[in-house]
Amino acid sequence: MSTSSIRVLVVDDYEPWLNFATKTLRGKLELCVVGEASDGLEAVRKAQGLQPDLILLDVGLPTINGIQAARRILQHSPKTKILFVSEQRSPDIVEEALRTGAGGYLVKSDAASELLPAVKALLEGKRFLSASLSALRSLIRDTIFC
Amino acid sequence: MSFPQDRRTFCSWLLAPLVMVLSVSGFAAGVPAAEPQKAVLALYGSRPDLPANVIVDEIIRSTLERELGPRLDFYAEYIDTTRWPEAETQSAVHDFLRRRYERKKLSVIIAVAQPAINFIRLYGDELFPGVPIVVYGPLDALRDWEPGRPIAGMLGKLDLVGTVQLILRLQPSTREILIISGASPTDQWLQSIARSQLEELEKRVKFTFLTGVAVEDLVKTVTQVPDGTAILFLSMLQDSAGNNLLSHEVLAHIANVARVPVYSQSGTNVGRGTVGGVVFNPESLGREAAQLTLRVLRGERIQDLPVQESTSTVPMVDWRQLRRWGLNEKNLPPGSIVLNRQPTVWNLYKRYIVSAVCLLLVQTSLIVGLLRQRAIRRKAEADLTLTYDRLRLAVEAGKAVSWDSDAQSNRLRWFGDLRTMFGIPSDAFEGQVEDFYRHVYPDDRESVRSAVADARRSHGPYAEEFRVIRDDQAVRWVTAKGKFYYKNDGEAEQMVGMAFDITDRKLAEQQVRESEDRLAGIVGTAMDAIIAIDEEQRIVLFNAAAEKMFGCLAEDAFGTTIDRFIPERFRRKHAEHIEAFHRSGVTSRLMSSRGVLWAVRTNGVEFPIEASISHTESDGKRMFTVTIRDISERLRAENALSSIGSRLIEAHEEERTWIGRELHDDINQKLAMLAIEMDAWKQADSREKFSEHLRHAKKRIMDLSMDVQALSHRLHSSKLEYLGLVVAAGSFCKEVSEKTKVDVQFSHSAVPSTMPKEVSLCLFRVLQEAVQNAIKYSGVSRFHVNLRRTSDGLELTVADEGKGFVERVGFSGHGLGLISMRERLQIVHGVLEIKTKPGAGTTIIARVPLQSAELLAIAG
Repeated sequence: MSTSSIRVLVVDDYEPWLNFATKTLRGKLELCVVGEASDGLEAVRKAQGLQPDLILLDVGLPTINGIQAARRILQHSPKTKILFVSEQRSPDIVEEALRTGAGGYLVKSDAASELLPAVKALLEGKRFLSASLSALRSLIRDTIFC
Repeated sequence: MSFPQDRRTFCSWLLAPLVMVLSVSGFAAGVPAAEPQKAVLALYGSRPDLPANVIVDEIIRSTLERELGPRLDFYAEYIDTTRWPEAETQSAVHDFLRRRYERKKLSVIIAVAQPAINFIRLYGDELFPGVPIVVYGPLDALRDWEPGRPIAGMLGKLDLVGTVQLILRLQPSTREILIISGASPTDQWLQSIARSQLEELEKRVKFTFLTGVAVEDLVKTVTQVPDGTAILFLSMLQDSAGNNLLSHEVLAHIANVARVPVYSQSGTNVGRGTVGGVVFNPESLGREAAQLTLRVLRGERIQDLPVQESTSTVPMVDWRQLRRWGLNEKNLPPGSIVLNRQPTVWNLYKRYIVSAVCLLLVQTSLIVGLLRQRAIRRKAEADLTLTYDRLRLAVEAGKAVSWDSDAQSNRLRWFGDLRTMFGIPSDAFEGQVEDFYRHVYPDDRESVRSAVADARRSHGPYAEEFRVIRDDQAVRWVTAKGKFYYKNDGEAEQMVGMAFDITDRKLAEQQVRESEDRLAGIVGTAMDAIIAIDEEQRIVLFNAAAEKMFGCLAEDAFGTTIDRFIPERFRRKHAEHIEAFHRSGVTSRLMSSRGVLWAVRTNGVEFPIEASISHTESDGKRMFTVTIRDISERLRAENALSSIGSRLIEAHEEERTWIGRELHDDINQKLAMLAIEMDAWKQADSREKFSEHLRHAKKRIMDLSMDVQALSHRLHSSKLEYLGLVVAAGSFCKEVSEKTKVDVQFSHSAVPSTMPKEVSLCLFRVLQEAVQNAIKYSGVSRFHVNLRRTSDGLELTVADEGKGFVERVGFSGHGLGLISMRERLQIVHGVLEIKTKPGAGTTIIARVPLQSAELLAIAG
């Protein structure tokens, strides 16, 4: 997969995070943040309109949550890579988020060190789970990572 | 020429009855045909053309013929001594009669008038030996008859005195009476009797006898007699010159010219110009003599028969002469016979008049009757018209139709309000019976035909209610009544009846029925007890809710007073309130406005109620209706609610206190410690040391993040929001199990992945509360939680086998627990069911309905 001009959509209702993510990704790995969204339905609409290669998606969002939004986006754009970025650490939530077909789950607190590796892993077709969640890996069904 | 046989038979048949009639007639006369004829000889003393002889002969002959018929052999002989007075002539007559009748066997001889009686006296025994003699003549005719010689006779009195007295009565001023008589022996005989009889009256009146004077002289005399004179004409068969005269003709001539009235003693002269007199009536005398003769002919011995004086001598006058001479009829003696009275119109046409009057009367009666009939008919017609108008008005006003139909021809006539009933724009209609049935609603035709047929067969009344279809297809209800009229042979002749439009009534009845049904439905299904009582407070209505509330069947309540459901201490007050309510004129009132009312069940348990009362008045009778609501539960709920408020506030405060404590005592303390530690970083002497501080700080910050997430999770389940009810519920049960060491077993089936947020939140909160309660109060180490989809919604069950509790106590306890669960469920139209009792565990079931569309959407 070529790494040039990789289109990224950032979805979060916390503006400082949007700024952080955009700043972190800009100029890295040929990434290009093509859009931002602050609620679930807006994310679905923009995903359909922008057809990004990658979406950074929060779980807790207004209107519909991130898990529901991921299901809809992947239904229409199955090639889009989705990386959940959330502070939620509940194994149930992580499992359900990954069950949508998303490529990875990143704990927000670890973003400073894991965002770019997570993006890279997804762009390389791999799946990603934050290191801080490694203790939960046994709780998450293996099939998700097959 | 001869008749054919059948024709002769025909004639015989015709003649036979005639012969029989003639035979019977002869037998009926009582005279055997074989009996020999009776030879009767009438011997007259004067000429045959004298009127008296003609009359007497006719009467005697006809009388005898009437009795004897053809057996009468009648002879008449006239010796006429006036015209043949000579002895030779009389001898010749004697010989003639002897020779003539010597071979005749005479049955009887009738001697008429004085000359004949004298002839028989002298020669009868010689000429007619043994033949019975019947005499007819004046009373003095037998003056010379030998005593003991057998004879029978009828003699008339010559009453000249009576005649003169009649003259004097009619002409009281008469001073002289001229008495005219002839010169014949008979005339003289009469004159001698007159002289003899009138002798007694000579002092009263002067009598002048004119005897045998020639007729011409008599005429002169009578035309010159002075006033105060009357003329009495006896007879004049011969004048002095020997001229034979017809006495009645002389009389007529004289009477015609006389200047004074002329009288006569002979009945035959009345009507010939004389006024009249006391006369001897030849007709009566002849009839009596004929009857005497018949007695002789029937075999009676002559010796046994009398010589009688006839009673036929009576005053007799000619009415025309009375008028001629101006004589007053009133002066006639009683019993006088007035002849020739000019008949009055009455006399002339009496029968016609009577007939005409009768006819007139009959006609008048008929006319009166007809007029009366016409008046009655007109009145009847007027009454009929009035009655018809009344009937028509009544019929039209009453939306009615009158009908009559001919049972034979099926002709039908209607009149009345045809527009309303049949949609016919007229007040009269003529047609056929089938026209009627065509208007009858199809479903009702059979029953109407059957009712008509029954009435016709049973001779009973016809009555039926049915529907008709108007020409505009509108359906109307009709009630009809009628009857059949029959002929003498019992065959139906006519049907008459009346039909009324009862659509409005039917609609009203239907509305009333529906209203009653609705009312009955409302009353029957009402949650509140409804009791109606009459003026004596006796129960007349007791609905199902009342039965349940008071534990009393309606049939046991009817007729009893409502006092039985009022605690005894309130009964008197209750009666006063009822009366005061009625007097107030208010139709309805809430009874419990003055506080809680109390009622008593049949088991004696009192309970609080809320009641309202209303009253109606119909036909002067009052009716009260009391609506009662058992407010036991409500009061309990109100009591519970009143405590909930404070407990809710307490709960809020507790929650805030806990959050505050968590934020202050835990998170804030940890942040403070972190801040203190960060101050120590200033003293880090190496990059490695600083990095170590940073890693440590990050860990502390992430721990804080975890704490905040835990706090947030307690306040609001993110799993519920992100992962749905099943995951959240299972996660919660798992967390509780781990935290409390109580095994909370969660199971679920067919729960939809998505559902309304308020439903999932409600059930999650109920689950949290129920699980917390079970852990806290059941005392068991394991219990079950199940979440499943039902046909119409979702059902959450939390069941333990622990201590259980008294339900009422559970609601009134110190926690929000059960009440908050119920309140939450009510928000989503759900219900809470609690199955518990002390020692038998507790099962909490929460049911939330989901709309079909939601379920389908969810299932899809």
